[in-house]
Amino acid sequence: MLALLLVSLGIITVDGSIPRVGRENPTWVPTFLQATLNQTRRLLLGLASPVYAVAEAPYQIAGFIHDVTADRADLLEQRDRLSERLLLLEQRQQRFDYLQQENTRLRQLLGSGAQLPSQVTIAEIVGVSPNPQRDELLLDKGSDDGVAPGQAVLDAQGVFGQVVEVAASTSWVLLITDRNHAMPVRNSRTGVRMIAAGTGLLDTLILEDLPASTDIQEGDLIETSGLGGRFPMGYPVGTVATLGSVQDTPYLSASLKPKAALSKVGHVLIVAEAAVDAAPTQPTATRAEGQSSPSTSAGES
Amino acid sequence: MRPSGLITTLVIVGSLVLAVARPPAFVPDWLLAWRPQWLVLALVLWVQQLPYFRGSLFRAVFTRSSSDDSTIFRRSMLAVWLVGFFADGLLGEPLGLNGALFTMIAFYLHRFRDRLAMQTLMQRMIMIFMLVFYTEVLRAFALNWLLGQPWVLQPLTVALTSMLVWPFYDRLNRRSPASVRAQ
Repeated sequence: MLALLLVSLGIITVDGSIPRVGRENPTWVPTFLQATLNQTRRLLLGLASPVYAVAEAPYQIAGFIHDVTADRADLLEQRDRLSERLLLLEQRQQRFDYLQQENTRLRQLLGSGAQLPSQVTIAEIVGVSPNPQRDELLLDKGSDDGVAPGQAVLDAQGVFGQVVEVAASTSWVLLITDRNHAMPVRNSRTGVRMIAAGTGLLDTLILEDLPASTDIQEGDLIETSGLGGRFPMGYPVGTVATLGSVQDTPYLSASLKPKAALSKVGHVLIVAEAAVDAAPTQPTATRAEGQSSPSTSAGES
Repeated sequence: MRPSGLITTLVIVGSLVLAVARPPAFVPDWLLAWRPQWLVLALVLWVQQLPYFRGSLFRAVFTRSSSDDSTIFRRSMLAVWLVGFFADGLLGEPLGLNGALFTMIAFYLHRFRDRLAMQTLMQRMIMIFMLVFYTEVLRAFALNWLLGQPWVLQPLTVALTSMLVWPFYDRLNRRSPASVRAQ
Protein backbone atom coordinates (compact mmCIF):
# COMPACT_ATOMS: atom_id res chain seq x y z
CA MET A 1 0.00 0.00 0.00
CA LEU A 2 2.85 2.34 0.86
CA ALA A 3 4.38 1.76 -2.57
CA LEU A 4 1.09 2.60 -4.29
CA LEU A 5 0.75 5.77 -2.21
CA LEU A 6 4.28 6.87 -3.07
CA VAL A 7 3.69 6.19 -6.78
CA SER A 8 0.41 8.15 -6.58
CA LEU A 9 2.09 11.07 -4.85
CA GLY A 10 4.80 11.18 -7.51
CA ILE A 11 2.26 11.10 -10.35
CA ILE A 12 0.07 13.74 -8.65
CA THR A 13 3.04 16.08 -8.18
CA VAL A 14 4.23 15.73 -11.78
CA ASP A 15 0.78 15.74 -13.39
CA GLY A 16 -0.42 18.63 -11.23
CA SER A 17 2.55 20.78 -12.22
CA ILE A 18 1.91 20.32 -15.96
CA PRO A 19 -0.51 23.07 -17.03
CA ARG A 20 -3.36 21.80 -19.17
CA VAL A 21 -3.04 24.45 -21.86
CA GLY A 22 -1.55 27.84 -22.57
CA ARG A 23 1.50 28.12 -20.34
CA GLU A 24 5.05 26.84 -20.53
CA ASN A 25 5.63 23.36 -19.15
CA PRO A 26 7.79 23.17 -16.03
CA THR A 27 11.46 22.65 -16.83
CA TRP A 28 12.11 20.20 -13.98
CA VAL A 29 9.78 17.57 -15.47
CA PRO A 30 11.48 15.50 -18.22
CA THR A 31 9.81 15.80 -21.61
CA PHE A 32 9.25 12.06 -21.98
CA LEU A 33 7.44 11.98 -18.61
CA GLN A 34 5.16 14.85 -19.65
CA ALA A 35 4.43 13.12 -22.96
CA THR A 36 3.73 9.80 -21.20
CA LEU A 37 1.34 11.39 -18.70
CA ASN A 38 -0.46 13.35 -21.42
CA GLN A 39 -0.83 10.20 -23.47
CA THR A 40 -2.08 8.27 -20.42
CA ARG A 41 -4.64 10.97 -19.74
CA ARG A 42 -5.82 10.85 -23.35
CA LEU A 43 -6.11 7.06 -23.11
CA LEU A 44 -8.12 7.28 -19.86
CA LEU A 45 -10.37 9.94 -21.38
CA GLY A 46 -10.99 7.63 -24.33
CA LEU A 47 -11.78 4.72 -21.99
CA ALA A 48 -14.13 6.95 -19.99
CA SER A 49 -16.11 7.99 -23.07
CA PRO A 50 -18.52 5.01 -22.92
CA VAL A 51 -19.36 5.88 -19.30
CA TYR A 52 -20.29 9.41 -20.37
CA ALA A 53 -22.26 7.98 -23.30
CA VAL A 54 -24.31 5.80 -20.91
CA ALA A 55 -24.82 8.75 -18.55
CA GLU A 56 -26.05 10.87 -21.45
CA ALA A 57 -28.28 8.11 -22.86
CA PRO A 58 -31.49 9.13 -21.00
CA TYR A 59 -31.27 12.63 -22.50
CA GLN A 60 -30.54 11.23 -25.96
CA ILE A 61 -33.50 8.86 -25.71
CA ALA A 62 -35.76 11.65 -24.43
CA GLY A 63 -34.65 13.83 -27.35
CA PHE A 64 -35.30 11.03 -29.81
CA ILE A 65 -38.77 10.39 -28.39
CA HIS A 66 -39.50 14.11 -28.52
CA ASP A 67 -38.42 14.20 -32.18
CA VAL A 68 -40.50 11.15 -33.09
CA THR A 69 -43.64 12.32 -31.33
CA ALA A 70 -43.37 15.96 -32.44
CA ASP A 71 -46.61 17.43 -33.67
CA ARG A 72 -46.79 18.11 -37.43
CA ALA A 73 -48.13 21.62 -36.88
CA ASP A 74 -45.18 22.38 -34.55
CA LEU A 75 -42.71 21.12 -37.15
CA LEU A 76 -44.29 23.24 -39.88
CA GLU A 77 -44.18 26.29 -37.64
CA GLN A 78 -40.55 25.57 -36.80
CA ARG A 79 -39.72 25.16 -40.50
CA ASP A 80 -41.31 28.53 -41.33
CA ARG A 81 -39.42 30.18 -38.49
CA LEU A 82 -36.12 28.68 -39.66
CA SER A 83 -36.78 29.68 -43.26
CA GLU A 84 -37.29 33.28 -42.18
CA ARG A 85 -34.14 33.14 -40.12
CA LEU A 86 -32.20 31.65 -43.03
CA LEU A 87 -33.37 34.46 -45.29
CA LEU A 88 -32.26 37.04 -42.76
CA LEU A 89 -28.86 35.37 -42.32
CA GLU A 90 -28.35 35.11 -46.09
CA GLN A 91 -28.98 38.83 -46.38
CA ARG A 92 -26.45 39.46 -43.62
CA GLN A 93 -24.01 37.10 -45.31
CA GLN A 94 -24.17 39.18 -48.51
CA ARG A 95 -23.38 42.28 -46.49
CA PHE A 96 -20.60 40.40 -44.69
CA ASP A 97 -19.03 39.25 -47.99
CA TYR A 98 -18.98 42.84 -49.22
CA LEU A 99 -17.42 44.09 -45.96
CA GLN A 100 -14.85 41.31 -45.99
CA GLN A 101 -13.74 42.23 -49.52
CA GLU A 102 -13.55 45.86 -48.54
CA ASN A 103 -11.58 44.93 -45.43
CA THR A 104 -9.11 42.89 -47.49
CA ARG A 105 -8.62 45.81 -49.91
CA LEU A 106 -8.02 48.27 -47.06
CA ARG A 107 -5.55 45.89 -45.43
CA GLN A 108 -3.67 45.60 -48.69
CA LEU A 109 -3.54 49.41 -48.89
CA LEU A 110 -2.16 49.57 -45.36
CA GLY A 111 0.32 46.79 -46.05
CA SER A 112 -1.18 44.72 -43.22
CA GLY A 113 -1.41 40.93 -43.37
CA ALA A 114 -4.71 39.35 -44.37
CA GLN A 115 -6.80 37.44 -41.85
CA LEU A 116 -6.30 33.69 -41.85
CA PRO A 117 -9.35 31.59 -42.69
CA SER A 118 -10.67 29.38 -39.89
CA GLN A 119 -12.00 25.85 -40.09
CA VAL A 120 -15.08 25.12 -38.06
CA THR A 121 -16.20 21.79 -36.61
CA ILE A 122 -19.67 21.33 -35.17
CA ALA A 123 -19.69 19.35 -31.92
CA GLU A 124 -22.33 18.26 -29.44
CA ILE A 125 -22.04 18.62 -25.66
CA VAL A 126 -22.24 15.11 -24.20
CA GLY A 127 -21.25 15.67 -20.59
CA VAL A 128 -20.46 18.18 -17.88
CA SER A 129 -17.79 18.07 -15.20
CA PRO A 130 -19.20 16.45 -12.04
CA ASN A 131 -17.14 18.89 -9.98
CA PRO A 132 -19.30 22.01 -9.44
CA GLN A 133 -16.13 24.05 -8.81
CA ARG A 134 -15.01 23.57 -12.41
CA ASP A 135 -16.81 24.84 -15.49
CA GLU A 136 -15.92 22.17 -18.02
CA LEU A 137 -17.88 20.33 -20.69
CA LEU A 138 -17.26 17.17 -22.69
CA LEU A 139 -17.74 17.34 -26.48
CA ASP A 140 -18.30 14.45 -28.87
CA LYS A 141 -15.42 15.43 -31.18
CA GLY A 142 -11.76 14.61 -30.61
CA SER A 143 -8.39 14.33 -32.32
CA ASP A 144 -9.90 12.07 -35.02
CA ASP A 145 -11.97 15.09 -36.10
CA GLY A 146 -9.02 17.49 -36.04
CA VAL A 147 -9.66 18.91 -32.58
CA ALA A 148 -6.53 20.00 -30.67
CA PRO A 149 -5.87 21.60 -27.27
CA GLY A 150 -6.12 25.38 -27.31
CA GLN A 151 -8.75 25.67 -30.03
CA ALA A 152 -11.55 28.13 -29.41
CA VAL A 153 -15.14 27.02 -28.90
CA LEU A 154 -18.06 29.26 -29.86
CA ASP A 155 -21.82 29.01 -29.92
CA ALA A 156 -24.38 30.95 -31.95
CA GLN A 157 -24.26 33.91 -29.56
CA GLY A 158 -20.60 34.25 -28.63
CA VAL A 159 -17.43 32.77 -27.19
CA PHE A 160 -17.93 29.59 -25.18
CA GLY A 161 -14.48 28.42 -24.05
CA GLN A 162 -11.38 26.60 -25.24
CA VAL A 163 -10.38 22.96 -25.68
CA VAL A 164 -8.08 21.78 -22.89
CA GLU A 165 -7.90 18.00 -23.31
CA VAL A 166 -8.40 15.80 -26.31
CA ALA A 167 -8.99 12.06 -26.72
CA ALA A 168 -9.62 10.23 -29.98
CA SER A 169 -13.35 10.92 -30.09
CA THR A 170 -14.01 13.32 -27.21
CA SER A 171 -12.57 16.52 -25.80
CA TRP A 172 -12.91 18.64 -22.64
CA VAL A 173 -13.71 22.33 -22.97
CA LEU A 174 -12.88 24.89 -20.29
CA LEU A 175 -15.64 27.52 -20.21
CA ILE A 176 -14.76 31.23 -20.20
CA THR A 177 -16.45 31.52 -16.80
CA ASP A 178 -14.14 29.03 -15.07
CA ARG A 179 -12.08 30.54 -12.25
CA ASN A 180 -8.83 29.53 -13.97
CA HIS A 181 -9.73 31.10 -17.31
CA ALA A 182 -8.86 34.56 -18.59
CA MET A 183 -8.86 35.95 -22.12
CA PRO A 184 -7.81 39.13 -23.91
CA VAL A 185 -10.81 41.19 -25.02
CA ARG A 186 -11.61 44.70 -26.20
CA ASN A 187 -14.48 47.12 -25.98
CA SER A 188 -16.22 47.15 -29.38
CA ARG A 189 -17.27 50.81 -28.90
CA THR A 190 -13.90 52.27 -27.97
CA GLY A 191 -11.36 49.57 -28.87
CA VAL A 192 -9.87 49.60 -25.34
CA ARG A 193 -8.15 46.31 -24.63
CA MET A 194 -8.62 44.45 -21.33
CA ILE A 195 -8.69 41.00 -19.72
CA ALA A 196 -11.95 39.14 -19.03
CA ALA A 197 -11.60 36.55 -16.27
CA GLY A 198 -13.95 33.81 -15.09
CA THR A 199 -15.61 33.90 -11.68
CA GLY A 200 -16.92 30.35 -11.36
CA LEU A 201 -20.47 31.61 -11.99
CA LEU A 202 -21.98 30.79 -15.38
CA ASP A 203 -23.57 34.23 -15.73
CA THR A 204 -20.67 36.48 -14.70
CA LEU A 205 -17.23 37.45 -15.97
CA ILE A 206 -15.07 40.22 -14.53
CA LEU A 207 -12.79 42.70 -16.26
CA GLU A 208 -9.42 42.73 -14.51
CA ASP A 209 -7.06 45.66 -13.82
CA LEU A 210 -9.26 48.28 -15.42
CA PRO A 211 -7.83 51.80 -14.86
CA ALA A 212 -10.35 54.29 -13.45
CA SER A 213 -9.90 56.51 -16.51
CA THR A 214 -11.06 53.77 -18.91
CA ASP A 215 -13.85 54.77 -21.27
CA ILE A 216 -16.45 52.10 -20.54
CA GLN A 217 -20.21 52.14 -19.99
CA GLU A 218 -22.84 49.70 -18.86
CA GLY A 219 -24.21 47.88 -21.91
CA ASP A 220 -20.95 48.09 -23.89
CA LEU A 221 -20.31 45.02 -26.02
CA ILE A 222 -17.01 43.31 -25.18
CA GLU A 223 -15.51 41.15 -27.92
CA THR A 224 -12.40 39.07 -28.44
CA SER A 225 -9.32 41.10 -29.35
CA GLY A 226 -7.52 38.29 -31.18
CA LEU A 227 -4.40 38.85 -29.05
CA GLY A 228 -2.76 35.70 -27.82
CA GLY A 229 -3.72 33.90 -31.00
CA ARG A 230 -6.25 31.60 -29.38
CA PHE A 231 -9.64 33.21 -29.90
CA PRO A 232 -10.55 34.67 -33.29
CA MET A 233 -10.89 38.45 -33.29
CA GLY A 234 -14.27 40.15 -33.12
CA TYR A 235 -16.49 37.50 -31.54
CA PRO A 236 -18.83 38.80 -28.81
CA VAL A 237 -17.89 37.76 -25.27
CA GLY A 238 -20.45 39.66 -23.21
CA THR A 239 -21.99 42.97 -22.30
CA VAL A 240 -20.96 45.15 -19.37
CA ALA A 241 -23.51 44.49 -16.64
CA THR A 242 -22.20 46.47 -13.66
CA LEU A 243 -19.57 49.15 -13.14
CA GLY A 244 -18.13 50.50 -9.91
CA SER A 245 -14.98 51.89 -8.41
CA VAL A 246 -12.71 49.87 -6.14
CA GLN A 247 -12.21 51.76 -2.91
CA ASP A 248 -8.73 53.26 -2.30
CA THR A 249 -7.41 52.02 -5.64
CA PRO A 250 -7.16 53.64 -9.08
CA TYR A 251 -9.12 50.77 -10.62
CA LEU A 252 -12.67 50.10 -11.75
CA SER A 253 -14.61 46.93 -11.03
CA ALA A 254 -16.69 45.76 -13.96
CA SER A 255 -18.68 42.61 -14.53
CA LEU A 256 -19.83 41.12 -17.81
CA LYS A 257 -22.86 39.06 -18.69
CA PRO A 258 -21.64 36.39 -21.16
CA LYS A 259 -23.30 36.35 -24.57
CA ALA A 260 -22.95 32.59 -25.06
CA ALA A 261 -25.63 30.34 -23.60
CA LEU A 262 -23.20 28.61 -21.23
CA SER A 263 -25.79 26.82 -19.13
CA LYS A 264 -27.58 25.27 -22.08
CA VAL A 265 -26.71 21.97 -23.68
CA GLY A 266 -26.63 21.57 -27.44
CA HIS A 267 -24.24 22.16 -30.29
CA VAL A 268 -21.13 24.34 -30.37
CA LEU A 269 -18.51 25.28 -32.94
CA ILE A 270 -14.82 24.43 -32.58
CA VAL A 271 -12.65 26.89 -34.48
CA ALA A 272 -9.64 24.94 -35.73
CA GLU A 273 -7.50 27.84 -36.79
CA ALA A 274 -7.87 31.20 -35.07
CA ALA A 275 -8.12 34.19 -37.38
CA VAL A 276 -5.09 36.00 -36.03
CA ASP A 277 -3.71 39.10 -37.61
CA ALA A 278 -0.28 38.69 -39.10
CA ALA A 279 2.30 41.22 -37.91
CA PRO A 280 1.69 44.57 -39.60
CA THR A 281 4.41 45.89 -41.86
CA GLN A 282 3.67 49.52 -40.99
CA PRO A 283 3.24 50.78 -37.43
CA THR A 284 0.25 52.93 -38.39
CA ALA A 285 -1.86 49.83 -38.80
CA THR A 286 -2.38 49.36 -35.07
CA ARG A 287 -2.57 52.94 -33.85
CA ALA A 288 -6.33 53.13 -34.09
CA GLU A 289 -6.70 50.13 -31.80
CA GLY A 290 -7.00 52.33 -28.70
CA GLN A 291 -5.12 52.37 -25.45
CA SER A 292 -3.77 49.21 -23.97
CA SER A 293 -4.37 48.01 -20.47
CA PRO A 294 -1.71 46.32 -18.34
CA SER A 295 -0.96 42.65 -19.10
CA THR A 296 -3.01 42.49 -22.28
CA SER A 297 -1.27 39.46 -23.68
CA ALA A 298 -0.65 37.43 -20.56
CA GLY A 299 -4.12 36.43 -19.59
CA GLU A 300 -4.75 33.21 -21.44
CA SER A 301 -4.92 30.25 -19.19
CA MET B 1 -20.17 -15.25 -11.53
CA ARG B 2 -22.14 -15.52 -8.31
CA PRO B 3 -25.27 -13.36 -7.86
CA SER B 4 -23.36 -11.16 -5.40
CA GLY B 5 -20.65 -10.62 -7.99
CA LEU B 6 -23.18 -9.64 -10.62
CA ILE B 7 -24.90 -7.19 -8.27
CA THR B 8 -21.61 -5.69 -7.09
CA THR B 9 -20.38 -5.31 -10.68
CA LEU B 10 -23.64 -3.59 -11.62
CA VAL B 11 -23.39 -1.32 -8.58
CA ILE B 12 -19.80 -0.35 -9.48
CA VAL B 13 -20.72 0.37 -13.13
CA GLY B 14 -23.87 2.22 -12.01
CA SER B 15 -21.81 4.29 -9.56
CA LEU B 16 -19.37 5.26 -12.32
CA VAL B 17 -22.30 6.44 -14.45
CA LEU B 18 -23.96 8.27 -11.54
CA ALA B 19 -20.65 9.99 -10.71
CA VAL B 20 -20.62 11.76 -14.09
CA ALA B 21 -24.35 11.92 -14.87
CA ARG B 22 -25.61 15.36 -15.81
CA PRO B 23 -28.54 16.45 -13.65
CA PRO B 24 -31.75 17.54 -15.43
CA ALA B 25 -32.05 21.21 -16.35
CA PHE B 26 -34.51 21.98 -13.54
CA VAL B 27 -31.98 21.02 -10.83
CA PRO B 28 -30.41 24.20 -9.41
CA ASP B 29 -26.62 24.54 -9.55
CA TRP B 30 -26.20 24.67 -5.77
CA LEU B 31 -27.66 21.17 -5.49
CA LEU B 32 -24.65 19.76 -7.39
CA ALA B 33 -22.57 20.20 -4.24
CA TRP B 34 -24.83 17.64 -2.56
CA ARG B 35 -24.12 14.84 -5.06
CA PRO B 36 -23.23 11.69 -3.06
CA GLN B 37 -19.75 10.22 -3.48
CA TRP B 38 -21.05 7.25 -5.47
CA LEU B 39 -17.59 5.88 -6.27
CA VAL B 40 -16.50 5.70 -2.62
CA LEU B 41 -19.76 3.96 -1.68
CA ALA B 42 -19.23 1.38 -4.42
CA LEU B 43 -15.65 0.93 -3.26
CA VAL B 44 -16.79 0.29 0.32
CA LEU B 45 -19.23 -2.32 -0.95
CA TRP B 46 -16.52 -3.96 -3.05
CA VAL B 47 -13.87 -4.07 -0.31
CA GLN B 48 -16.32 -5.48 2.22
CA GLN B 49 -16.82 -8.46 -0.08
CA LEU B 50 -13.12 -9.17 -0.54
CA PRO B 51 -11.67 -11.77 -0.91
CA TYR B 52 -14.89 -13.66 -1.77
CA PHE B 53 -15.75 -11.30 -4.59
CA ARG B 54 -12.74 -9.75 -6.31
CA GLY B 55 -14.37 -8.36 -9.42
CA SER B 56 -13.81 -8.80 -13.14
CA LEU B 57 -10.90 -6.33 -13.16
CA PHE B 58 -9.05 -8.42 -10.59
CA ARG B 59 -9.60 -11.56 -12.65
CA ALA B 60 -8.58 -9.83 -15.84
CA VAL B 61 -5.31 -8.64 -14.32
CA PHE B 62 -4.36 -11.56 -12.10
CA THR B 63 -6.19 -14.47 -13.80
CA ARG B 64 -8.05 -16.95 -11.67
CA SER B 65 -5.04 -18.43 -9.88
CA SER B 66 -5.72 -19.10 -6.23
CA SER B 67 -3.35 -17.63 -3.67
CA ASP B 68 -3.16 -16.98 0.05
CA ASP B 69 -5.12 -14.15 1.63
CA SER B 70 -2.22 -11.70 1.90
CA THR B 71 -1.40 -12.05 -1.82
CA ILE B 72 -5.05 -11.54 -2.70
CA PHE B 73 -5.10 -8.48 -0.45
CA ARG B 74 -2.03 -6.96 -2.13
CA ARG B 75 -3.43 -7.66 -5.59
CA SER B 76 -6.79 -6.23 -4.55
CA MET B 77 -5.09 -3.02 -3.46
CA LEU B 78 -3.52 -2.77 -6.90
CA ALA B 79 -6.92 -3.40 -8.54
CA VAL B 80 -8.45 -0.67 -6.34
CA TRP B 81 -5.63 1.70 -7.31
CA LEU B 82 -6.28 0.98 -11.00
CA VAL B 83 -9.97 1.78 -10.55
CA GLY B 84 -8.94 5.04 -8.87
CA PHE B 85 -6.60 5.79 -11.77
CA PHE B 86 -9.50 5.26 -14.19
CA ALA B 87 -11.63 7.58 -12.03
CA ASP B 88 -8.96 10.30 -12.46
CA GLY B 89 -9.45 10.15 -16.21
CA LEU B 90 -13.20 9.93 -15.85
CA LEU B 91 -13.51 12.95 -13.55
CA GLY B 92 -10.72 14.98 -15.19
CA GLU B 93 -8.77 15.23 -11.92
CA PRO B 94 -4.97 15.08 -11.47
CA LEU B 95 -3.69 11.59 -12.23
CA GLY B 96 -3.03 9.49 -9.15
CA LEU B 97 -5.35 11.45 -6.85
CA ASN B 98 -8.26 9.00 -6.74
CA GLY B 99 -5.83 6.07 -6.85
CA ALA B 100 -4.24 7.27 -3.60
CA LEU B 101 -7.58 8.06 -1.94
CA PHE B 102 -9.18 4.76 -2.94
CA THR B 103 -6.14 2.76 -1.77
CA MET B 104 -6.23 4.43 1.65
CA ILE B 105 -9.97 3.77 2.00
CA ALA B 106 -9.55 0.15 0.92
CA PHE B 107 -6.68 -0.37 3.38
CA TYR B 108 -8.67 1.09 6.26
CA LEU B 109 -11.79 -0.93 5.45
CA HIS B 110 -9.86 -4.15 5.02
CA ARG B 111 -7.91 -3.61 8.23
CA PHE B 112 -11.06 -3.07 10.31
CA ARG B 113 -13.40 -5.26 8.32
CA ASP B 114 -14.24 -7.64 11.14
CA ARG B 115 -15.02 -4.77 13.49
CA LEU B 116 -17.16 -3.01 10.88
CA ALA B 117 -19.15 -6.18 10.25
CA MET B 118 -20.29 -6.15 13.90
CA GLN B 119 -21.60 -2.59 13.78
CA THR B 120 -25.22 -1.52 13.52
CA LEU B 121 -26.54 0.30 10.47
CA MET B 122 -26.43 3.64 12.27
CA GLN B 123 -22.79 3.10 13.28
CA ARG B 124 -21.90 2.17 9.72
CA MET B 125 -23.67 5.29 8.43
CA ILE B 126 -21.58 7.42 10.79
CA MET B 127 -18.48 5.55 9.62
CA ILE B 128 -19.42 6.35 6.00
CA PHE B 129 -19.91 10.00 6.91
CA MET B 130 -16.44 10.23 8.45
CA LEU B 131 -14.82 8.25 5.65
CA VAL B 132 -16.34 10.35 2.85
CA PHE B 133 -15.71 13.57 4.77
CA TYR B 134 -11.99 12.84 5.26
CA THR B 135 -11.69 11.67 1.63
CA GLU B 136 -13.29 14.84 0.32
CA VAL B 137 -11.18 17.06 2.58
CA LEU B 138 -8.03 15.38 1.22
CA ARG B 139 -9.36 15.77 -2.33
CA ALA B 140 -10.19 19.44 -1.73
CA PHE B 141 -6.71 19.98 -0.25
CA ALA B 142 -5.05 18.39 -3.31
CA LEU B 143 -7.22 20.35 -5.77
CA ASN B 144 -6.56 23.56 -3.86
CA TRP B 145 -2.82 22.88 -3.92
CA LEU B 146 -2.63 21.79 -7.57
CA LEU B 147 -5.39 23.74 -9.32
CA GLY B 148 -6.04 26.60 -6.93
CA GLN B 149 -9.62 25.45 -6.40
CA PRO B 150 -11.18 27.37 -3.47
CA TRP B 151 -12.19 25.71 -0.21
CA VAL B 152 -15.92 25.13 -0.02
CA LEU B 153 -18.36 23.24 2.19
CA GLN B 154 -18.59 20.43 -0.34
CA PRO B 155 -16.82 17.77 1.80
CA LEU B 156 -19.52 18.22 4.42
CA THR B 157 -22.49 18.18 2.03
CA VAL B 158 -21.15 15.22 0.05
CA ALA B 159 -20.51 13.27 3.26
CA LEU B 160 -24.05 13.96 4.49
CA THR B 161 -25.79 12.75 1.34
CA SER B 162 -23.44 9.76 1.04
CA MET B 163 -24.35 8.77 4.60
CA LEU B 164 -28.05 8.98 3.76
CA VAL B 165 -27.65 6.88 0.60
CA TRP B 166 -25.54 4.20 2.30
CA PRO B 167 -28.50 2.08 3.65
CA PHE B 168 -29.32 1.08 0.05
CA TYR B 169 -25.74 -0.12 -0.51
CA ASP B 170 -25.73 -1.76 2.92
CA ARG B 171 -28.86 -3.69 2.06
CA LEU B 172 -27.15 -5.08 -1.03
CA ASN B 173 -24.07 -5.98 0.99
CA ARG B 174 -26.05 -7.75 3.72
CA ARG B 175 -27.91 -9.84 1.17
CA SER B 176 -24.82 -11.13 -0.58
CA PRO B 177 -23.44 -14.62 0.21
CA ALA B 178 -20.00 -13.08 0.59
CA SER B 179 -21.19 -11.03 3.53
CA VAL B 180 -22.71 -14.07 5.24
CA ARG B 181 -19.45 -15.99 4.85
CA ALA B 182 -17.43 -13.07 6.16
CA GLN B 183 -19.47 -13.08 9.33
